Amino acid sequence: MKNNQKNIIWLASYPKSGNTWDRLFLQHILGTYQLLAGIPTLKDIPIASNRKLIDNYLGVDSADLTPQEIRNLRPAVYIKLSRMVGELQLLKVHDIFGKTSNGQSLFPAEVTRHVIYIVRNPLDV
Amino acid sequence: MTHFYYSIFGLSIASPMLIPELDTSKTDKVDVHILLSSAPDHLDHSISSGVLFESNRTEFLLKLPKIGKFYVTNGDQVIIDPKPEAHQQEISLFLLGSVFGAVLYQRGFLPLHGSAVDVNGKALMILGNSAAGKSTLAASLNQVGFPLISDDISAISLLDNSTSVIHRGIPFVKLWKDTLNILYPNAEYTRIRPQIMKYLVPVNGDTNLPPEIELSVIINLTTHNYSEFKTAEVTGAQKFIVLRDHAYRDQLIQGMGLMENHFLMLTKLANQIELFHVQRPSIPLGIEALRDLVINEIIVG
Repeated sequence: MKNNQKNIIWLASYPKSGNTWDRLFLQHILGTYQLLAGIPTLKDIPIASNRKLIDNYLGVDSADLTPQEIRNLRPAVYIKLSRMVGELQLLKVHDIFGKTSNGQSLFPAEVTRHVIYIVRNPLDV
Repeated sequence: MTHFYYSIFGLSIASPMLIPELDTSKTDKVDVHILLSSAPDHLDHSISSGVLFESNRTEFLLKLPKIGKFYVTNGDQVIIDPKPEAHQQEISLFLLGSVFGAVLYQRGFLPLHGSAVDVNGKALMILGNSAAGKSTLAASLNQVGFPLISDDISAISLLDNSTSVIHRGIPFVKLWKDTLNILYPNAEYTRIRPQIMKYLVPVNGDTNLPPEIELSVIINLTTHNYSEFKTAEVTGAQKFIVLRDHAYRDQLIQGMGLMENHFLMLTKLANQIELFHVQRPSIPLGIEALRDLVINEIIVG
């Protein structure tokens, strides 16, 4: 996959909207559902704000960074992730579509293929 | 140039810069030389890279905006190229974190993301993701008499097929303000960085601890959304998965050509240790209840 290919699909929702359920059936459709030692895992669709994911792509512990520094580095994390995974990547996200202090979108358009916005019928909760 | 000599992870360090977090140590042989000099902007042959780092088999470069660059080569040299505005404690923080993580990988150690205490001459290591409560549990065990071996990074060496040891790390725990207020009320400690409400807390009672301690029990500490604590022994292939998932900055390994050896070490370690999964309520932290559970069900039990 080329460096500039758009390969992230954001699963955007408020918490408790059925995001995990959607992730499970999407994983089954995509064939990425795994059983690790008999235990089902949702590893393949992480949440975008996952600390371990962010720490790994940064190379430092985000607990040693200020909230402002983390926010400013997050777009670069998703660009790096997009290039390294090289294939379609679903990421769950609860965050607002915000910007860094430099005016960069938190979720860069250059790596975004689609956004799926999951809304639960409030009468059904 | 004046040098300060330190010992950490079984390595003797010579540094032109004071590292107040470490114990001074006199030595004839230096394993890792720290230099204050200019570091490259990029590696010539980067195999793996993250947002802030680049690495290959023998080099690791970490670039932190407003703090500086750290360039590690061959596991025996660290060049620090600080920015003028960087604070000393910020340099130490990242030096003793990811930078020494790279030194450990380059020297063939197995660094895991965990803290460890000594229990009657054997090491009990606490693994967990960030904010799981590793440092808090280690500090609270330390308060009731278990000497701290390491916090955040645990450097492991496999002596043979049946024994692994953990090397003494930094004699400090890093605690957030809320935990500090519970465990060390009224105490004044230094922040890890001026802007962050996380503190460096020196720990007591470990002066007689040997430099390396046999690793026997590992706890995987996680949180859940229930009100009770749970413990369960982890067995079989799942032990390997837990250890693999807690390699310290495992993204670094890919560029270092260490994958094969790394997995071999994880497999051997999984066969040598007892592993327990401890789940705690995400809120409240319940420090005393967690500590008592670990003492009663794992240390004594």
